[in-house]
Amino acid sequence: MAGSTSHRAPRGGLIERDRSLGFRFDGRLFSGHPGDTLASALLANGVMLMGRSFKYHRPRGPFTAGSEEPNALVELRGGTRREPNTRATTVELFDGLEADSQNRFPSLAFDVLSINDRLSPFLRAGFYYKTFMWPAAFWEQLYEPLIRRAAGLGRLSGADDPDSYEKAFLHTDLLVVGAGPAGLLAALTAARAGVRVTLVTEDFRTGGRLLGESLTIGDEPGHVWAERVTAELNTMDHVRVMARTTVFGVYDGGTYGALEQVTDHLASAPPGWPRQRLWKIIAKRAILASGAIERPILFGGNDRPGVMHAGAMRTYANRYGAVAGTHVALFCNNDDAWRTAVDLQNAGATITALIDVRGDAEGPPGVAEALAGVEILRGAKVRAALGSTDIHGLDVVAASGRSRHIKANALAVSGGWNPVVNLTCHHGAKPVWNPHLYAFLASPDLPAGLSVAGAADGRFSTASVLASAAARANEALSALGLTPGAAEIPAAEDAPVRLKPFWYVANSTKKAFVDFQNDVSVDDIKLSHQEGFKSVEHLKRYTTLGMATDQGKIANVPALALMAELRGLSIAETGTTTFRPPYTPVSIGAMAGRSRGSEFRPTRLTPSHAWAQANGAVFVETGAWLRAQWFVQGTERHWRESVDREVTGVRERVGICDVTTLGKIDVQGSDAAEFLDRLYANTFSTVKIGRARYGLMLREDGFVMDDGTCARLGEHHYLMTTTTANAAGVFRHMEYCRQVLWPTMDVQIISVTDQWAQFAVAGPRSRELLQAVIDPGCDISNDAFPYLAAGEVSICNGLPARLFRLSFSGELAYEIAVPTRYGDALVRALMEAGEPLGVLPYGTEALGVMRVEKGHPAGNELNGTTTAADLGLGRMVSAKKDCIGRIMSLRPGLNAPDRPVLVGFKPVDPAHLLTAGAHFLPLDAPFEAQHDEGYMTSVAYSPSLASSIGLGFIKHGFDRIGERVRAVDLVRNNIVPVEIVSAHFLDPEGERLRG
Amino acid sequence: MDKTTLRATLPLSAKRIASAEFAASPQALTLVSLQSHHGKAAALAGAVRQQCGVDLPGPGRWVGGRWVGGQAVTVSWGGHEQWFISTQTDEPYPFTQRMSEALGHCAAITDQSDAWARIKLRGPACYTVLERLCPLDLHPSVFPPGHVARTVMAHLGVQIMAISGEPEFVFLTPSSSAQSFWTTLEQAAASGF
Repeated sequence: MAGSTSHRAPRGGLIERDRSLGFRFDGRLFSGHPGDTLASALLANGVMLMGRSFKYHRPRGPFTAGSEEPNALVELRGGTRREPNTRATTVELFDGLEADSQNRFPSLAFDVLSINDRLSPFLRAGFYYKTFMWPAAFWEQLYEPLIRRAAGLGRLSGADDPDSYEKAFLHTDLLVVGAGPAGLLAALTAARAGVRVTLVTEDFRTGGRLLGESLTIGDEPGHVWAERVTAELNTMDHVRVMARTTVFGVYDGGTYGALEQVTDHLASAPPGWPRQRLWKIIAKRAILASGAIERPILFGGNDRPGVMHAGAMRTYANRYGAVAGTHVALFCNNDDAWRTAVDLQNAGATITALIDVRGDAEGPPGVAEALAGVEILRGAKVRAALGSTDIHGLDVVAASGRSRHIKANALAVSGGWNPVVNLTCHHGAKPVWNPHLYAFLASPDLPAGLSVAGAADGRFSTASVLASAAARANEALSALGLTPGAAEIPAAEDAPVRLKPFWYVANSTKKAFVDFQNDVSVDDIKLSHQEGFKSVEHLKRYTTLGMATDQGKIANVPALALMAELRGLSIAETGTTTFRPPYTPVSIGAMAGRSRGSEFRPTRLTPSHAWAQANGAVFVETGAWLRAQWFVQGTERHWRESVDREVTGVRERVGICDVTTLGKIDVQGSDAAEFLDRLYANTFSTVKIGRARYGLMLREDGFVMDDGTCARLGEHHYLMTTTTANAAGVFRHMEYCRQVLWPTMDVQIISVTDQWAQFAVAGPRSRELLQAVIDPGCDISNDAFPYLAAGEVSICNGLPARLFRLSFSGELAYEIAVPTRYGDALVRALMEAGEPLGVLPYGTEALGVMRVEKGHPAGNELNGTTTAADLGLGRMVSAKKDCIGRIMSLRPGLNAPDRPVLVGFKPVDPAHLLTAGAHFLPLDAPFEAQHDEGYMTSVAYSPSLASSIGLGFIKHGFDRIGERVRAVDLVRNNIVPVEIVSAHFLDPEGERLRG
Repeated sequence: MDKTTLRATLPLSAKRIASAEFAASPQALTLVSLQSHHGKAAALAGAVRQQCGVDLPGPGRWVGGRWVGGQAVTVSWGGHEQWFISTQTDEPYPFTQRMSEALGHCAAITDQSDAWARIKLRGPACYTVLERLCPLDLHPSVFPPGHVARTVMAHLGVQIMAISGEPEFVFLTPSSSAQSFWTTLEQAAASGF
């Protein structure tokens, strides 16, 4: 196998050394072990160079060993699964993993655009704003594409995401965020008390900092303690330990957003498993034990591969057995960092110097002794790390002021630690500067139910971390109504925090970077200040500091310290930006979950769906429903052939259409009639039992809301229908009326849309067809069952059904309803019984043609801007009673004489086709808005009239029958002279439907 | 001409999920909605007691009773002054007719047998599957047998009843969209326990 594991310590680390995993980076084959991350495995193979920076294309290596990583961003996997900007420090190694470095050409080691680095004096903060200002037209065409090409991060595949994602809900008494020493002890304390505990860690293993340190807890190594506690937690049914899961946001009412990486660590997912799962966690209490992130000291070349956080270097050595360099130096301002030298020495590295900015630094007890022979430079500073794609030495200035060259191919750096308080800010509070710890801590104004424990709360010794965790857990138990016992707190080191705040080396001899991910340098911060961007919010936006995938987890605090110094203020006075969700990036796919493609929303199927599918139906989505639009038969190639045939068949013989989708609402109660009188513009209390009526409903503002029919089934029992599209809205409106407006009325409503399969049976032979299925004894002759009759019948040997003599097509027509389970059988029975009559199924398109022929308004006309009078239905708004919308419908504006009204339109030349959306203008008027007189809402080709016909609204339309205007459709360039006609194109007297 | 007798087609009739950890299957459903007329809640309670031998359950609860003739029925709360009575018969009409006659004087009775698809879920992985669908806390300490709730899962309205601690749940979901709901259920059941 190519690539030696040259930088792997001979023993130690939490990796399975007896198993090897093969992986590729930039096409080269390497080997690692289970337990490795991509970054640790590359380091163990001696690969420090992992990426190029965003703007200057500077070579970069991993700076951290965690999710805060700004540098080691790679494209993971290939093909449609390629995922850009993935942090190598969090990618769990698996066999066959493939990753590529990004933002480099032609190769990572030699990159053409690293010329940008030489040009950096010109590419400083605000460069783009200042340079690409004119001409404005060049921006989109030229500048932006060029800049994006040069400054991109990783590439998207551009293809559909082949993975699936899932959402899930989790309810718990106590959520513990983070599984380091604090999180583990808090979870254990609460779990032993018996409450439901959920412990979440972004890592694939519990233990947090304990995994990366050589600390002991009680009398065992920290990671062993972590493993033992985790094992105990896992034995409890009321505890859930969730690894690879990041809590990314805090929302209202104890709700937390979390992303679980379900199969990201597998070469291929088991079938059906989602790649990631987005959790909505509802927790009564939560403890934030998110630890701390180390912060750097800024000096020249501090971004060079080989320079990394001291804690990260310890993690690579202790957890992964990966040694960052053979010759390691340390640059720090605090005691804690000194342990790095000991750990790295134990891992086999030579410590070339320990450089501490403090002149009086002593280090933790015993450490100086352990480092016998190591040169300790007190009061010294690193002015520059020397090198490019790696480092080969340090330019150090000693306390005396003398320059020193220190040999080193790796440099650990530590400026102290920043508590991870991000989640505490998600309800708007800003972190508060603590002048004793020199760090931002959570504001006391925490999200309700959330408390902070451990290093996240500024406790930095292991003993104080454990103590605070136990205290927070007991507080949570009290809040949950339990009496906490004495928590078992194991013994651990309790070293004091000894740190001298120190942010950057003023006399650096090379460029010093503040924000690696955005290539913001110390000089950029100074420039920003010099140009007047003094507020931290302006600083952030001018320099782009703190943006992109790492969200300033490392850069923010040093940048604030720099700004404070430039302004001559304290850090507290300078202020800070806040943190918003998400804590780490969340893929859009996870937010969509299962709602994508054909499953974007649920689909409703009509009872005749299976039958229609087998009989050539072409379906259309209407709301959530799939309805048959038309049925393709024989050699039909064009939809018009099918639709014309269906219309003709209905007009001449008989057709069947599934109208189940119309909203059906059952209305009962002793006040049902009065309720409907108030709801509808027209009157329903006068409808006789066994009769139906067309009804029109107004909105509160007087415009038309919906229309439909309503049948009276009993003294106190009505069944109303709504349009398909408005079914839910009308039902909601009725619930509002019932519950809020008139709560004293005795009215009960319930949707029965899904309960009944309903078919329109229309055409001159519809009665004959129905007689073939209706049981003897049910008389549906014209006398016994006239137009608008409604009632129960029995069909097909005793099945109770409902029959309505309603017509949307203008033909003799019925609607027959049976319980949904019989719908499929009924359509088949009707088709069979109707065969001798020439029956045919018809779809929504033919339905639409026939309703236009009859001038019936539908959704296009009931578009929320039209009144009953506009529709020619003004007389339906009864003056004898009040109804919702009546008063407002009397407003002058709604009764202006020149409001466009609904009439029909026919092309003067029958060969012309009309288009909906066309505006009506006088024949001689230029195409200007001032001459607009109205617009076409619906058009159809009428096979009965052998002409295109349309419905539309035009001013004074009722008085202009016979007049000619032009229908002007500039969008589709269709200008058609039309004649204004009655909207009732066919059978205006309604003889057919009464026949 | 001889009339054909119509055959019923139930939603999800051929669907099954069967594994040791989790099983789901559609069930026959006869269901009526009772909505008490104004001022008739007490009369309705009395009539239900007479018909089914149980008191009307309070919010979020269901009870099992017996209909005249000994057939098991479930009476569940459905909303303000609303309850559902369900039983498992292949032919709903006689039951709904009987309920209309017995209870119609004090409540609006509507047949809802075809408006919903009934699905029974059981097996130790129920909780794992359901947390991917259901926003409610179904933990037995919170939602023990005897509880019922109406909620939204996968954009669809659902009634959910805790039946036994096995665990065992019954879902009612609108029949027209039952296929979509089933697909979602299958996905949740296939995404790992």
